[in-house]
Amino acid sequence: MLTIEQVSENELKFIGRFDASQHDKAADELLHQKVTVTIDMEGLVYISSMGLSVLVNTYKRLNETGHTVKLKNVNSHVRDVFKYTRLDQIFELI
Amino acid sequence: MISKRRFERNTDELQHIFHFLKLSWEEFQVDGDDQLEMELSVEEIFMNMIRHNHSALAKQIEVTVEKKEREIALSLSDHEEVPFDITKAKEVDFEEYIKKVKSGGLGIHLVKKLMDEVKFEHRLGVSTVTIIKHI
Repeated sequence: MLTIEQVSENELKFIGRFDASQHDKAADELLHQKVTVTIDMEGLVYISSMGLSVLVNTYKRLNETGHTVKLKNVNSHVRDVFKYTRLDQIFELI
Repeated sequence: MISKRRFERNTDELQHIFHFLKLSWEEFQVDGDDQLEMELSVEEIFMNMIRHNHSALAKQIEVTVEKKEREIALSLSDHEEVPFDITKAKEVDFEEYIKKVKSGGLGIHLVKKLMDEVKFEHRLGVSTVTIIKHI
């Protein structure tokens, strides 16, 4: 189960597991973001390719208006998933 | 040691699959990172099966976990008229992928990266994908 908390206007916190069953929930939440968004992933323990696709689609949408998606506090397992899919070259991992 | 269970072909079943795997990890004493990598690989294969196999014969998907001496073998079996061998799936062209910022199509690549072996077998109308993780 994925929990999404609004930390501030442009920062969200993802907690739990971002699997395919959480795709629609996360996509709906991220659709509200219109400018650069930072996602704190300290509490995110798992992400699958369906989770990655939500982040990539958000990046693509925001990038059209000069904005981006920043990911912070990414744990080692989730970081490996970004590395293996080379998405660490697209997202700013801070 | 073998554990086996059948799951309906819908996304909501993932939570039941993860619960089933969690019980296996406890029984087989599998550590944290290995658990996450195998759960991720099972999800990718399961989702691939329910999204791309539209055979009228396709009903439940059977998941098997087997502990051998120093490895865990996980198998997912599904009725499939036209077999799709994931071991022969086209490699991701990452240069193109990143240039065009595509989305999707990374699941099988992840499975191959995370697992030590990936095998495919099609017999009597049933496709079985077996992934092996050395522990």
